[in-house]
Amino acid sequence: MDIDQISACIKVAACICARDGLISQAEEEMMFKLVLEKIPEYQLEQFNQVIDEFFDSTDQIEDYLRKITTPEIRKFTLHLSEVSASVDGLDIRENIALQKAHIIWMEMPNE
Amino acid sequence: MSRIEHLSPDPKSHVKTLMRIGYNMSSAVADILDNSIAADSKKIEIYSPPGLEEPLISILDDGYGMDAEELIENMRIGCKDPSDEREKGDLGRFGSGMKTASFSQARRLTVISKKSGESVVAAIWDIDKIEETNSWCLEILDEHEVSLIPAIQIDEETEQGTQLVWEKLTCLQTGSHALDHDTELASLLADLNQYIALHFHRFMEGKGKCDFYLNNQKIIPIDPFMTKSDGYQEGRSERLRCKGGYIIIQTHVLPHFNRMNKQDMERLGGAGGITQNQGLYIYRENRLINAGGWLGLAKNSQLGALARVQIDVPTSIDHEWSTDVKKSSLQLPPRVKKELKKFLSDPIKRSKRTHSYRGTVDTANKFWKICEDENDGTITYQIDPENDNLRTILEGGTDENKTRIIRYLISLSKNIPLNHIYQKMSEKPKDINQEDIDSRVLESIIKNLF
Repeated sequence: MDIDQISACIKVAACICARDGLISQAEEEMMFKLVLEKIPEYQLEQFNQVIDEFFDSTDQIEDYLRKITTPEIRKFTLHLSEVSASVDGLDIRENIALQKAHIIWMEMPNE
Repeated sequence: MSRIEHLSPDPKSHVKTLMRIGYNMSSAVADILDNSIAADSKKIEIYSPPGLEEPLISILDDGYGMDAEELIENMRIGCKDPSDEREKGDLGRFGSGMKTASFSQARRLTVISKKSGESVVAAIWDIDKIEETNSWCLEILDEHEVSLIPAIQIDEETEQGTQLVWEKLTCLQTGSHALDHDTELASLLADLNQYIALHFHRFMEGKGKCDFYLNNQKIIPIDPFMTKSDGYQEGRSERLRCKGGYIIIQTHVLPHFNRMNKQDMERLGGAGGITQNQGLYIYRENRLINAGGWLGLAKNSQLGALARVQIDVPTSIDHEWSTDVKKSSLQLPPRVKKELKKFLSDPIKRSKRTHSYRGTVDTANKFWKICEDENDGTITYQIDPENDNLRTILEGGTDENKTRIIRYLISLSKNIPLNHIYQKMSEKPKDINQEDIDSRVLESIIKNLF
């Protein structure tokens, strides 16, 4: 998985976790832990930079979803999003965002 | 077809509105100090010379300072767009603070400034002139006029800095019942000292600290959480990532009143002040903007008196917190409210435990019983009839004496001065001394009997 794709995965998860503008510490820590499991050499600084870019950007979840095209990475992204968002209880808005990601990808062709 | 009519506010009326924006002297000076901090000042001096017929207040800093162009731009009301993101460390918000804060306290605002390598520049907003001419007429002073400004402390020798002088003070009462100006100013300055010591305490310590002086006396910071005191308890903490940084939540429980240093306790307003100021302490870029109160998330209670929740907020999310021009009020965004609710139970519970630990000792005392009736919802303090000494006394006496003693003890229980105890425990718990009571009671009984 290349850096651009992992950035997109993190941004999708951030989008889902931060439906109301905030990502909790537990969510953030879980997100980084799961990314590390997938890519052990991934650095915290890189992760922080991606999260900062996410907050500074006006892109919507659809924009990030569009960048992820392979089934394997989509699967990982959904796992990353669901586990991170659920770590301190899955909020209704977070759940809706997660469902939206599922639906959009169902309608979007794989690579 | 509709047409556009450009209607600028009438200066004479507009300035009157700006004068009544709701500052008090402490919050107005604090707004000026925000600018000094943002200019990276290391020393800020507030001075009000006593004994003047026309009192004035001067605020001098050694921060970056401004050149003529910057000064004129900063004298404009609303010189910055509130929706523009502020740089880290910039405590400003609407670009109106210096002017509105000054107009709320004085009818004449003089700003003198010097940027490193530049000349001294000065400008004046005089409300009398604005009203007279009905225009926003800013007076720019020439070199000679600058030297005539009362209490001026900036000259060409100064490396850099900015000084504000408030004249024609409106914060002082006038009329037949008014105190003399020196007395009134002294009282306002005492409140200001307390306000700055608390609201700017984080800037007074550590790396890059800034020293604050009030009439040449250094202001000593007040730590609202008493983190260095014995018995202080640090609680849970959490970071929430948001645009521009983190919201950091940290819970604290103050030491029990009996373990507090008397001076520290007085500086936090005594037991009454500490109880009243339980709650949320919200810092915006290290500056305290909300000192206590639960903002509707919990209720103040005697047992929660020691609970404090510290929240650090970056300026990048000002719009979500609805900070006002004075930066003295705000509204919690819904998500932060939800996160905070998770935290409130912890310090409140531990504050209660800190109190009730001592309550349990009272319950265990062999002379008194505390009867809590859950059905009636009442609490009764009674002399413990099981006490061994009491039983021995009663066994040895006649029936008549036994009855008298029992009746006396019942009356004694009924007549505990509870209201008085409650009041004194709230106000001056350290002054209550029950330790030396034995000898005094004994001496008085012996004196009356023999």
